[in-house]
Amino acid sequence: MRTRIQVLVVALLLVGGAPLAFGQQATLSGQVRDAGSRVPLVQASIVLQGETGNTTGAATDTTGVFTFRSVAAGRYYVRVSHIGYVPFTDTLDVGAGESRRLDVALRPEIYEVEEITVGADRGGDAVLSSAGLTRIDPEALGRLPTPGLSPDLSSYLLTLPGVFAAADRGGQLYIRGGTPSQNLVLIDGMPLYQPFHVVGFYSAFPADIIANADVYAGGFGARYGGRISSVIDVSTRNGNKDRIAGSASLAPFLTSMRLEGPLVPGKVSFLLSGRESMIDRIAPFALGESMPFRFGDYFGKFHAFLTETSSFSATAIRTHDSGDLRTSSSRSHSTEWNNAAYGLRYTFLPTDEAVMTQAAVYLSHLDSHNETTDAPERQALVDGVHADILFSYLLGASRLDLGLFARSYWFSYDLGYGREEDDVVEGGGYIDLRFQVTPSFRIKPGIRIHDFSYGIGLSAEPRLRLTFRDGNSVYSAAWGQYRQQIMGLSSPRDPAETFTAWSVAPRYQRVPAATHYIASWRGRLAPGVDFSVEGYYKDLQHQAFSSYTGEVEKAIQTERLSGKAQGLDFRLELSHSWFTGFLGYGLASVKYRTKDGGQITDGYRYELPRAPEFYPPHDRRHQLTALGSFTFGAFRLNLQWQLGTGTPFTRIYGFYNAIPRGTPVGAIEEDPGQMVVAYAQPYQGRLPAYHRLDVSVERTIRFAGRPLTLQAGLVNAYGRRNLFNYDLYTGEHVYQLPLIPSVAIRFDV
Amino acid sequence: MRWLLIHIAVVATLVLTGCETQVDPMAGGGPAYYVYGTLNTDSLVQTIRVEALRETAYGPPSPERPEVILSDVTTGESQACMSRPETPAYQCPAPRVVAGHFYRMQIRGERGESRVDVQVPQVSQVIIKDVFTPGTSAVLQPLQWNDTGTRPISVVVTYVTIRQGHLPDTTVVDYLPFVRGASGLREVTLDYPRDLNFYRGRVGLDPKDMTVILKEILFSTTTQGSEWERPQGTTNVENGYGFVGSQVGMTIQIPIRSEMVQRLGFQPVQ
Repeated sequence: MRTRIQVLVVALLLVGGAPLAFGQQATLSGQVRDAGSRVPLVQASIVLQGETGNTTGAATDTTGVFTFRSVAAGRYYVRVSHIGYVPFTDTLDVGAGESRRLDVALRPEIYEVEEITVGADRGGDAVLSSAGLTRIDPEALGRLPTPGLSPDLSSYLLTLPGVFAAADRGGQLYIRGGTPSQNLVLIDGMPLYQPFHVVGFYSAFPADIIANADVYAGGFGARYGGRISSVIDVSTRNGNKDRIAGSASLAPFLTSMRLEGPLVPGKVSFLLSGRESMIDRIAPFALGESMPFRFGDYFGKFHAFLTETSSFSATAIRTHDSGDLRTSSSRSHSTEWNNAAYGLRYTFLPTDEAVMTQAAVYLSHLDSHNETTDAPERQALVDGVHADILFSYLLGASRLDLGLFARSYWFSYDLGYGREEDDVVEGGGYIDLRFQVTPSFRIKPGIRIHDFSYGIGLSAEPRLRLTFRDGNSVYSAAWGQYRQQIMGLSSPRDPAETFTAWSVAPRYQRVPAATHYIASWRGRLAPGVDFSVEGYYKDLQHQAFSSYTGEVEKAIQTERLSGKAQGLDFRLELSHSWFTGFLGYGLASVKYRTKDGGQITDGYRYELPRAPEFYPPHDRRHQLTALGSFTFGAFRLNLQWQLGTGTPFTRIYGFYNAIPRGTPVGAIEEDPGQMVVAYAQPYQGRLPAYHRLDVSVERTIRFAGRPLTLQAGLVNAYGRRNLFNYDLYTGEHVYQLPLIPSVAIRFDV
Repeated sequence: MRWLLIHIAVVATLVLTGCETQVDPMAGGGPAYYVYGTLNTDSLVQTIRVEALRETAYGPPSPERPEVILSDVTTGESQACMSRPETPAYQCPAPRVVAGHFYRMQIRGERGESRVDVQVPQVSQVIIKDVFTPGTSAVLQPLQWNDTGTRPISVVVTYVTIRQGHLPDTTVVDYLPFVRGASGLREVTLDYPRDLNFYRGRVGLDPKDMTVILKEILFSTTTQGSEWERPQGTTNVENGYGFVGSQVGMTIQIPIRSEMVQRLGFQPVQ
């Protein structure tokens, strides 16, 4: 079709336009700005390539403006680029004598863009992907029927094949066989230890502050380390440097506000965002039942162009979550956690050398507290100090990144048996090379040297990524080795478990490790129809796996296991003028096996069921997500349906009252004993499937010259009773979110 | 296309309405009973706790009373154990458990069958050396025994009977130290008190008001079966939970000689 159009256009030009154009030169001008701050970009490069191969170029001036005064009529391939930004490309038809304007907004490329897009233009694509990587733009988040008009990264992540949460409350995310503490979550480079809110729609990342988010479900490059499963790297945008702007939304789940603007016009800006939940106060009146969850997040960013070649930013974020994840009517499960992170970053872009230097320092903090009816109170705290320096050398189409990093962690936790403290220091460096072998083939080798002071000492972790483009198809593959020294210990059996005690791997033992293998194909089947398939295999070693004992009190014992996670992800994306849709299916398997023929135990007092191999509780075998966003005149209808097959759990044979060995014969008859759960083989049962439909309808009108958006929606529209917890001791079923109607209003200025 | 839509609608309807939201936590089959007790050669009646696994966490023990049979595999004799009312205990009466014999306990009931096999250990072989040296102020009594395959626990006892005129006899039991070591022929020394005043002090009477007679000196051990070597948290109940141990008691009388009695200040036995 495209070829036909091109032939037709060329024919028209040749037949009708060429005689007129001959001798009549066109003019092309425009302005290049930062997409977020709207600040003009100086020295941006604009290249025009004609169909005959002739190329001409220009650069923007101090106001971001460029001009081509004598452009022959015809079709041109346009490329606008600037260091630190994602290049913009388009095809442009210029008529004879035409005075054409092209304004371009470039998105910051804080880190490298690793994907190659399919097709000649991105159109409305807000999501790009290659092996293991999904890049998400804020527009994609807005298409989800999130209750309230505060789109959030969390909702989107849960639509990706291979990504799921244990429940719609609790804030724990599993990605392709990895446990929550094996995911590295960064915001502007700052790690957040527990960034997902207690109600699963929300995280610390509202769409309002996001420039883009790179989600590596595996195969991430040497820039990232210290985690073995995945990376979620959120880059925030800078505040508006031209004018004051903001928004406010009011909804039962969440109320949000955003304010941004220039401190020094064109040079210095601020961005503030705050959200606070309302559901705990509104639910008793609106729903007639208690939803005792309270959460919120506050974000602030200061950004300044110090000179034309350097910039500085300071970022701060705080989150809080608390609630009672009641696992039955009689068993409370009080939980609370607070994140805080602060970062400073300096970027230097010399005009005479193709080197970008970036230095940053971050502080990250998490404190958490947990108390249940029949377990001792638990507390944990982790503080981390991170320092990074990065040198990026631009070598034509290729690029070399050299980085150095240092980390220091301090841990303190009390699991009910006394406070423990520990600390550890890590350091190292990495090399990432992006080598553009041909215009369609890119190879990206890398290596990370990481010193784990507690575990194996110096570790060399090679990484490799290949990308090949053939017409409308992109083939990519990624491979890498990963190790992790700090670990989050939690009890996997309990779906309500939000408590994670961060600590360092046992001294002188091998640290948890993984090797990733990923291959993907993505292609455009037809205009507006993209399809991708991706296979992955993760070889897991020295995994720390916590299990309960059979006693009622939740004593934890930790096993070291190996295992594998493997699967296939399929994505079908549809895009038309009135409809965008997404259909994703993930087939996955996670299997753990005990080391050296050892056996996993899952009880305490007497000989326990043992299994040399088992599927852990985050083995969700099938996952299907369908998204649709329809535009009907002034209305937009968003639908999202998710299906996930049941995850493993451990069945029981029953209960008995055990008496301690050595009890005198005379006491055998009278001793009441201690109640013990007789567990069957670990994780041989499967919980019921999970599925849910969310719907929302939006309409945006003008109010006082500004957009005012109204939304009505239903969470769990058909009232599916998805199981949250089965209480072994009382036999009680506790369900996830019921049908929840919601309305929301948002005003943007 | 129409058929495709119909199929999608049918599948969606089945999914939305047919999925189970309840969970059944009970695994079929599996271990049947919890059993706890000790086969003791010193006891005329063996008391064993037997409890059927129940499906609820809290509440009284299961009312089920399975059949419990204790068999002496060595002799082929079996006996039915009797359920004790209102408790989860059973009592297995005579014949007395014999050291060195194999025993099998079978529990049969609604949940299936659980079984325990136990070998009661052999009695320790004890060799007593007479090394009493006349003219010394102390009495040393080396003992040796062979505990291969068994585990004596630390009990060594002497008995002294004290007669106090019209009062009944009083027995003083004195526990002497025992040091555990590796299996094999080992030795312990009994260190008796130097004179009679020690015993008078223990009773708290004036020496002139009492007559003290050294009646016997006994060496006693309890030997546990090899099943006690299993770590806590493991069971020896097949298709069940719990623990059934065995133990053998052994007592040896140490010969009393006249010079030993006189040296200690006791009256000679008439």
